[in-house]
Amino acid sequence: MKPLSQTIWKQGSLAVAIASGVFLVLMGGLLLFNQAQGKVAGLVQSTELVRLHEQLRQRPQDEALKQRIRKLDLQLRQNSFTELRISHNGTRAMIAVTVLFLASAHLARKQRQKLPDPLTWGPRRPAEENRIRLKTQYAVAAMFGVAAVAAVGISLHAVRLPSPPAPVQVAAIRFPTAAEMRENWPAFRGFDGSGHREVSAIPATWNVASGQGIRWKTEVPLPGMSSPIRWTNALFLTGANAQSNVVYRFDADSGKLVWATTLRMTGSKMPGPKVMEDTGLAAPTPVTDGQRIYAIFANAEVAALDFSGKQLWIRNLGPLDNPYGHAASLAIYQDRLLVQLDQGEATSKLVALNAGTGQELWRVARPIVGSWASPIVVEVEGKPQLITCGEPWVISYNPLDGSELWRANGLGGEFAPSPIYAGGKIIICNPGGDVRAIPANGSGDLSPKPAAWKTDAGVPDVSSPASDGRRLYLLTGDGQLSCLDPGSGQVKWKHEFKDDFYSSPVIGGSRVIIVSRKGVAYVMENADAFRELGKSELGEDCNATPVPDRQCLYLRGGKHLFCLAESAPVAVKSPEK
Amino acid sequence: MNRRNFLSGSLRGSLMLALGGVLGAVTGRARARNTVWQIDPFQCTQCGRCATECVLELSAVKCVHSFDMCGYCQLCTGYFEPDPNKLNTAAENQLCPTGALVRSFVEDPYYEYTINEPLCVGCAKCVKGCTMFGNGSLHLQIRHDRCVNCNECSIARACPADAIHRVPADRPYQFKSRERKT
Repeated sequence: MKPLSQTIWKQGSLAVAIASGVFLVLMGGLLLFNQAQGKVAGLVQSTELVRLHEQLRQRPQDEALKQRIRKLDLQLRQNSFTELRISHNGTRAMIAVTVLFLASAHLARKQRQKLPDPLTWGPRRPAEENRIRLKTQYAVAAMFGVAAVAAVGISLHAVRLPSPPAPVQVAAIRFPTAAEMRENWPAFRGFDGSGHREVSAIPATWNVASGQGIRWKTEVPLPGMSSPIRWTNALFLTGANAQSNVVYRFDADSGKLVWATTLRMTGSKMPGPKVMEDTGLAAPTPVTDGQRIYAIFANAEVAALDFSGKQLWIRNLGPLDNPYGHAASLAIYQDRLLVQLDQGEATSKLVALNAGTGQELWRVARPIVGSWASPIVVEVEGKPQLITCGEPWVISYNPLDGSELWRANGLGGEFAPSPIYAGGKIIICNPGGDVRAIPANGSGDLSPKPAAWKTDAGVPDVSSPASDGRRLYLLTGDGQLSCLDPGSGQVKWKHEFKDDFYSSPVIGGSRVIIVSRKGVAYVMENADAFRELGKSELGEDCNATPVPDRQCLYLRGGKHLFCLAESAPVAVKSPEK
Repeated sequence: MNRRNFLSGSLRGSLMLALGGVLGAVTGRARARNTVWQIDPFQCTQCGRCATECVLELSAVKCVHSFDMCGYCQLCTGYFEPDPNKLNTAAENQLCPTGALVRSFVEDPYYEYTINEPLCVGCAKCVKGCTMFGNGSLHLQIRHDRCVNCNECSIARACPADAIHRVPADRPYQFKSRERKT
């Protein structure tokens, strides 16, 4: 090749190599940017479009708004599909240009002037050198050959069906006895959900300003409507905001925040649900079996933690679509964690998860419109029953396998009060009209059979009833507290409080306590006649249900967790980890 | 051949045949089966991640329609926005962000809904609407003309409901039907 043409080839190939290299860098950057944008994410998750749709619902005749929606819709589609086209064509262009780049770079390198290689001077190349070079070439070729054969062999090997997952080794769990469950407060409104504790020391009064009766008071970092639960000296609570779902453990004796565990879900984050402020993102109360704590949040994340705060498993049972936000608390029976998810007639369901692994054991569809009531597990004639309520059915299931035991219809309205079991009957507060008692030992459809008793006096709309088996307490949202005989439904007394209530009444020994939404607590005697023992203010709002304990009362306010006792010095704690 | 040789030869032959049969049966049973990824529509919670988590430029997941379950509704909750402005095909009334669900008149008051597959991105908005308020006839499936059958499916990793599993390649789809509704 002549020197001039050699120069032209050299410079030409170098220019092509540089140009194609620059193209590769730019196109690679553009494709990476496209990838980071999330392909069609902008199209399917446009917040602007959702906002405009909301506006259109408020101004249905606004033609200009309709035009804006159509324009934005078209723009989003064009953008997304243009990005997809760029990605599609760009990838192919990059492959072609990469070939061009390699070829031109190789050519440019070949044209480069080289200093003479001493081994090319025939007489100086030793025969030994040639032999080694040949051996090396053969060895490399043989390695490639083996690798190629192995690759072909592996690719031809059929994919095997994955073997069934080995059962997760779970430490043997000892189910707590009924006595242990009764001694502690392991779930929403206690062991059996009746809101009753036989031995308790509910203080008649306290004073937040002076500290009288406040044993300790600790700030809770995140908000939540959930109530505390207690197991020995551990108090558990949940809180959440748009970013985090958190489970807290407090020391029941000192109020110190022992740990706070933020749940970690693998995979991309599920968008948070829309909830009402009155429900919030942490309305369901957690449950414990004495070895683990189980919690559920509004975005349907269900998790188990051990008592040291370590997350053992997590699942998402959502997404949930509940107009107020999910509120039903969890229930547990032996190794079954029971989750009631009433979201709408087509999607309402009851799910049992293995408490040790989170694996689903059974699931049944529920013919329920939607509900916010919590399920309870009770023992009737020696057999367990899982009682659930929602419009229009109360249904009893076997918690072991989800089979239905009995059902009765006639429930209506937005169903929030949870059922209780008192005096051999299931007591149901039907916001649609009455309070009724259904014998719990039936089977099949009990709808045609009359209820054991019914009353339309003081029907709760949000609060759940409480009973110690001798008296039944009902609290309406506008402050009417009624005391009934759970056996006959006869009203023993009624009293009107000028206050609003979401929190449920609880009975602790000889006292009954109710707490209003403004944080005013009223303590009454648990007796056949009304007698108010005290009235105290918490100093902050309150929607959670109190926990009566042997020595004190635990109560969650809007900002703090309180331990209230008859008389004790104040100890205010700041949250610490 | 005497009788002893005949019996011994027959016995040996029978044993060889039996051994061959057993080996053949074991080999046949032990043959590995090909598998592919698929969504169980009854476990799917319509979270929308199928549209964004697939490694492909446009997801391998698309909506399919079980016509035997469809109610052919005039107000299809898989097609229309909740509380639509009007029951027409204007963009402000459609739930599908790409217009992939096509509504065509059958006879009063019935409408047929078909899927324009090239436009479907697998976002599950229509599936959610149909499942929550309708018959649940719209559901998602991984399309095997698109799926590259990754060793580890990136959508399965992100699926909050654990609804994506490997299934035998000779039964690659899990359709909803009137017979199997739950």
